[in-house]
Amino acid sequence: MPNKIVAVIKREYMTRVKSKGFVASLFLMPVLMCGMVLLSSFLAIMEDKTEEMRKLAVIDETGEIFDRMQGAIAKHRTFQHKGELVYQLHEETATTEEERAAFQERVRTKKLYAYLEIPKDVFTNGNVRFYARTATNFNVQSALRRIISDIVRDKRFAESGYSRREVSQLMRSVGFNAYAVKSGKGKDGGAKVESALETGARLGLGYILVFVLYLFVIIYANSIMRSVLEEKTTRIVEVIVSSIKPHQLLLGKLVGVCSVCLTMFAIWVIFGVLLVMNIEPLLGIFGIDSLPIQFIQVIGTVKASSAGVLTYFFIYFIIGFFMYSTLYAVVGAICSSEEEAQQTGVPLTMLLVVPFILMFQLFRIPDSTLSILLSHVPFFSPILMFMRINVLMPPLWEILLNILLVCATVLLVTLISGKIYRVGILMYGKRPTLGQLWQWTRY
Amino acid sequence: MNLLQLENVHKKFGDFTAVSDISFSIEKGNVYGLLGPNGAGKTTTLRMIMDIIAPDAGSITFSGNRHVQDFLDQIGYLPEERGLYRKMKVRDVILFIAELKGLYKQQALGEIEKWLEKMQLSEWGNKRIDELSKGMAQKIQFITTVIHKPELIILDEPFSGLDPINMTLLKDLMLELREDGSTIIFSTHVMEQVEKLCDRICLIHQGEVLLEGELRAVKRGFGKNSVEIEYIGSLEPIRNSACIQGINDFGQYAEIKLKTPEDYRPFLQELVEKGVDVTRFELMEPTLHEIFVESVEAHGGTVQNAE
Repeated sequence: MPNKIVAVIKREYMTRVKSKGFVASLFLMPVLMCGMVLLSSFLAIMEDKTEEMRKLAVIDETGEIFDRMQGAIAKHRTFQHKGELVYQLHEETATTEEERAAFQERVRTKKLYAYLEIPKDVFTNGNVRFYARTATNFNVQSALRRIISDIVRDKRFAESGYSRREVSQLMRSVGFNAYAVKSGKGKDGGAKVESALETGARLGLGYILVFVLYLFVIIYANSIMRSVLEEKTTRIVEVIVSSIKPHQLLLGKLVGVCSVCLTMFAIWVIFGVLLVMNIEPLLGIFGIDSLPIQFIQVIGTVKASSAGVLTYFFIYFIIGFFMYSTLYAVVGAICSSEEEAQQTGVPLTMLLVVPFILMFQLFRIPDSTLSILLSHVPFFSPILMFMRINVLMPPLWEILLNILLVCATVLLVTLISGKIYRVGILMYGKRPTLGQLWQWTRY
Repeated sequence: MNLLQLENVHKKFGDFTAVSDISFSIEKGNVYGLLGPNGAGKTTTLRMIMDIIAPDAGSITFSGNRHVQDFLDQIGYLPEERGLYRKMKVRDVILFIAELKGLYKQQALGEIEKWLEKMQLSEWGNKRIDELSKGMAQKIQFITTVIHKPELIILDEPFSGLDPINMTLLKDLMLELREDGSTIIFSTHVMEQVEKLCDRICLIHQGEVLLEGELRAVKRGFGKNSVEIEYIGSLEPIRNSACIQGINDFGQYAEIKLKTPEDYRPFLQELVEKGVDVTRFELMEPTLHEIFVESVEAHGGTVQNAE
């Protein structure tokens, strides 16, 4: 007797793996991930560059700053493009409010890039005012601020008889290296520590994995919801449940779709491992022989920590997937159209989005009572507990207890959902109320 | 022995009684017609047989066994609302359902080719369901119903939405399946098909059985109180005859319902006496349509959509 659940698993798996969407995400996801990381770091260092000449009107009430400013700007990188100075300073005067307003109007109509007011009392406690069409050109602002501050400081130093060089020598700050203390012994026999860079590398890996977990649970749980809905609206479900029990059908679906995700992860992990293991010869092909020490540290960290992190990733992905997919399957079962299901699914999506947003705040206080409590809320655990494992490894017993707790919840959710699912897939018309759902669980 | 037996089956949905005290049995090798107007409880009855919904009371036995769910693989079921996975290929869909019905892949593949050929759909085997016409999709769904050679075939409104050619094709297939030893139960409100196909019928209305039995016996029970006449001129002289219960006049031809079967003699006499120029006079067996309408109306119902 062939196994009928296997037939369901096979169908769910093959229709998805053979689809263009699967092949596309298999290649596009890593590209997008790398692209996002690269783009965000590129944007972070990208400056407000321009090729056009930008005019900057300066009203210098002190009469001492403008000339020195012009000299400093000519040497400053922020104001250059390919070695050419692209900012032009004009000294102007304005005494009345109308005259000031006229400059502001010229800024608004793009005749001026910006307009700067340096008050008389700038050497004591006056504030420089900078007007531009947007106040988000932070690099220009901070460069101007630094230049004017230096001029003002130099004057203060001169008045009080100190040399600037002496003062900055005395005022320089100390070096500061952060280490995370780990359990186990270090190489030199002391406590095992991890540098900020290594922590960063590990966290980066953890972040990517949390993001993948979140994304795949949402995407594929929704996919299950739609497939339940399709079977319901085409009424093929009547034929299926006259051959196989509803809970077997549901189980087959979950296992089939979960296998699709695991297949994709497995391919990525294999490629990732091959890449990391052979990174040096690979880079050698591109003529890069010596790697910076930081890079070697990062690769070393990824090598050392990925086995553990990946193990937890797979555990939390699978239980998270089963928890949410069962619930989304129920949404599909109690609705009669795609639009209705999308709306009904919103609270479930919130259950996933909330821990994902909280994570960015909680990772700074991983051992606070709040973090610990939230990470044990079963619906949040797949994201928050996994986050804690990445940031500050909780004791093993706590992790095991959490896994047990989440598994128990999954079991409970599946039992209740299975009953609602069984009734729902054969019901048409109006969406049931919560009270009716409760009744369905008792059939 | 009866292949399928229903005894005093009840089903309520909330306050609405869908099926009330239905009993009937189907012999092996028979074609059984479940008739009734829309909303009579036909689909509910079939779903209870399929164990999709459970009856509130009564028993359903398959080959004398009360656990119908253990025999589901020996039953083929065509639901009233049709549908298949739209994005799947024809062969894959049939294979999937065949496997759900307990067939091994190799076994199923051979059957699929046989059936596709029979339905003249072999070239369409690798197309997706949503590329097929509605009629073709219906044929594919019929294949999924019978691919595992079920002992009992349950068809819920199999003729709805079919064109005349496909209706004839389906009727021939059903008779062929009966020749091969299958037992068929189907629901319909199209009476023509029933007369040509059924060995036995069960007429239900508002969840209750109005009539049940062998088709010929049911007809005989109603008696020959229908007369068909062809005439020249007008029927006006006999329109108020004491023998007539109803008249359906087509101009040169009329179907006349008499009050009792014995009335045909005085009625014929009256025709001659009143000088109606009759060219043909024939006593008719009641059509199933008449029996259907009459039984339902006798129970205070009206028949809608009884094509």
